Amino acid sequence: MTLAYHFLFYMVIFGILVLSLNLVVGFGGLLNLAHAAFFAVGCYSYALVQLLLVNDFVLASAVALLVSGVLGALIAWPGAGSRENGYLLITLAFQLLFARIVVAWYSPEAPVGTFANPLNGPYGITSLQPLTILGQQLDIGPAMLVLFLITAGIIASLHFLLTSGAWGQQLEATRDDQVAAESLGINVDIERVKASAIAAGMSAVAGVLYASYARSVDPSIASLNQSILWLAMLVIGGIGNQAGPWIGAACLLLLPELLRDLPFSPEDAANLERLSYGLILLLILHLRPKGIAGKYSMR
Amino acid sequence: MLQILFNGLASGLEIALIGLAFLFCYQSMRVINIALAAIISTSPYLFVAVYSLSLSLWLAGLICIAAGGLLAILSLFNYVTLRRRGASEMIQMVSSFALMIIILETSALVFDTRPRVLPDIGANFLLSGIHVLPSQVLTGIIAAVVFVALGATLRTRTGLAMRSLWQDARTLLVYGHDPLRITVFLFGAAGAIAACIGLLIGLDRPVTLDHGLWVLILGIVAAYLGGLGTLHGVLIGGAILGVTRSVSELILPASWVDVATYFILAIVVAFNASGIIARTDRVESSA
Repeated sequence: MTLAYHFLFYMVIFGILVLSLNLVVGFGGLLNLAHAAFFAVGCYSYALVQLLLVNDFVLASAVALLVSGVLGALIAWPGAGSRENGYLLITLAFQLLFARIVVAWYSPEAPVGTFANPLNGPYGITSLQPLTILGQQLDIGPAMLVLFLITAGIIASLHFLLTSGAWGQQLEATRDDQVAAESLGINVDIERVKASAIAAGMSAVAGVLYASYARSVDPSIASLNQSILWLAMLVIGGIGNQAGPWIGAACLLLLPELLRDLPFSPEDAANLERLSYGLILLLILHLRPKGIAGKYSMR
Repeated sequence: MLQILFNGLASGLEIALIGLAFLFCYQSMRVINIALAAIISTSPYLFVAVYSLSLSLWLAGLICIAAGGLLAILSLFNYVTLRRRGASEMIQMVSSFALMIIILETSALVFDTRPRVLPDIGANFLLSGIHVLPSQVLTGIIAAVVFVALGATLRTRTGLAMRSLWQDARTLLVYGHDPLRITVFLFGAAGAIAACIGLLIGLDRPVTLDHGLWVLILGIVAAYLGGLGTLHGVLIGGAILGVTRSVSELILPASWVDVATYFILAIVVAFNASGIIARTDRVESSA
């Protein structure tokens, strides 16, 4: 398996993630920091469906979509109408909390998937079965990549249809002027909750893809750093349009490859990678707030 | 029970101080300065590095506090530059995350990421049957100095200018004050308080580079709970949160104590509650 192959798989997964974040940040104007938690819900849903029910990609995707969507709506509801950064605070607190609970809810004596040990705490769920769809097993290879591309195509089409239609314009109106949107009869809270739920569902599907590709799930995927990384991808690529998320994901996925040959220990290289994300993000915000392909600059 | 109440109040003071640091930045620039979390996390690491140069305990502490103030002022210049370019509050928020990453990852590269333990500053002692930690005494002294100094400052002309800045910066300009100078002072104070809190936490337990964000969240919850914009409200909010967490630890596992904190935040935000000490805005100001 070549590096280019891995890049394509990751490109699809991160592209979907950043696209879903675009719906809520770019079109909804809401800074969502709980995206890694929703992604992790997708990953763990896939693992638990496989462990407890049946190894089926479609069923796992449906469960992940439903669980994450409902959770996204519930988390968004308290902060949706707030004008004092309530949405941001709620998602930030939920993200930090989720990452803690995933690790803390653990009992070494109990089997994985039981109430006492649902997610196997810090060790995660490893050695998952290969992806199976409609009874057909797919190993990592061209067939699996085609499935990933089809999923990405469905998500991208859904994102395009939603954002270019009447609902997308309503959502943009809530972003641009909350009071004016309300005066036009738009229920700002409801539209924001809808956007959060759809975005959470989309990121859970990306989580299912990731878990089926990596065949293991651990708590590191649910960290706040991941949420910030995807936000950086979105800002760098360009907010509020269809191409920006894919460009941003590609740029930041290529960055580790550029740093790979530098003479640093793995730990220092990881720190340097995150430092580069931060610096690039800050530079983009100052020098090109619309991002590489951006239309809306959050101004 | 008295011990639990005392521990809760001491931890509430820490939370109130960080809530105050958050409010200084939020009220003057309307931005949640997440970079404060990086200052909280980094200060114990800087302290250990400076202290290893054979400096005295207190001088090393002062250097950390000054560095915290300086970092917060540098973060302010980032927000001011963005604002001059017409950036929204949201983009300033995103930049604060970028700043947090830059400070934390630079610290990780310079100091490494192993947990840090600060040297003892004294022994525990008994006071009317209550075990008191040296860090709790220090927290009490710092909180008393900060809140008394703030209370006194708010009665002076500078204090009036500060309150005016929190209401409307343009009015301040009309009366010949420089809003930026006051904002620099407030950000510097916020950074210094954040560094103090980082050190106080480091005196109690080993700290890592990722603990600052949750500490900042607690401060923000206290500020929301007390009513955004009221300084005595944040003190009450911190006390309530500290005691609630301390009592919760008796009946809940540690991670579920944070769940209780999260629910307090969700309830305050969900019901648009104006906190325990509500701001008394004039009717026309909400129009």
